[in-house]
Amino acid sequence: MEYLFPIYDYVDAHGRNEFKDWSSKLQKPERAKLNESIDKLMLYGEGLYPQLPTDSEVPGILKLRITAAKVQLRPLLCRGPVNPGREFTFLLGAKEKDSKWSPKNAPATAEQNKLRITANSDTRRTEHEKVL
Amino acid sequence: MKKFFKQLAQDFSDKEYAHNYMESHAVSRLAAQIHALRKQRGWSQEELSKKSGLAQEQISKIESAGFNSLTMKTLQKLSRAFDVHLHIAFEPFSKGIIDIGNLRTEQLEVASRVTNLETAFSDMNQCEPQNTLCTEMAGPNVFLMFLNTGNNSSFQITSATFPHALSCERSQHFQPMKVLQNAATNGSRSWLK
Repeated sequence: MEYLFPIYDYVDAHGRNEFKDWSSKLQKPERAKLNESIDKLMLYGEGLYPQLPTDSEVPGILKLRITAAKVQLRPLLCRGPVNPGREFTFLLGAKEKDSKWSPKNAPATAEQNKLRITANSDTRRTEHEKVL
Repeated sequence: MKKFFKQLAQDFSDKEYAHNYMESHAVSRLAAQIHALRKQRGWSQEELSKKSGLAQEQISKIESAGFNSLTMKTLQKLSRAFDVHLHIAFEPFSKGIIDIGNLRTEQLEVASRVTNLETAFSDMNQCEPQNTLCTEMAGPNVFLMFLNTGNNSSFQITSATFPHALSCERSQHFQPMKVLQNAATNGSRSWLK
């Protein structure tokens, strides 16, 4: 794909794409809206759509804000971390309800995943895998 | 980009997926355009709030695409505040896909009414370089449209008013004799004599 901004997904120590797993469990309308946001990020990066992405409470961890039915999806990502100006990496799938994260402390967990990628980018991330 | 368009067209074979994707796009595109229009005019959200009569908090929510529906009334308030035309229409999915892939900031910005209308039709009677349309007033309600190919061999006569003529002539290329026959059929005899 000829996207301008490559997108990656975090993989755990066993090589499993956790973000893909999380996406697979979403309902179809939620996945459609998630993919729409991700496609925009791939095509335009930041700037054209001011809400894409926004900061989380943890510095360096960003979130997409996706409203689908009564669910607030908050996939967490970061710029880079290998090439901060030119790529994004999805670190953790998450939801938010009444200002509470699911899973708990999601932004902090995402930050840990980011550090793991920084330490070993060859094995701890893969090209983004879209789930239809 | 072709690959992206083709892939999306394939993904859209699922109706539910396609509509949810494009509904999300419509919301985020509108949010982005409202943000772009405000920035184009150098306004803060507070200023837009004053001009539109909408609460600043509502504008913030709209620009962050944090809404599921906008009423026609709200859109009209915004179009009046920005002083632009509001266009709402149903379209084929293919057009929506192309819009997703080809959007630029310049496309989101729109000139306000006065600025736009001052310049929109000002060069109607000036000849453009080759392969562009020129128009001349050739009689009451008769416009002579030239497709300037450099040798004046192609043109179209119509008795319609300018906007109509432009919409139906833009893709057509006529030989002079056929044009004159068409003009006769269209009732432009008074001009021909």
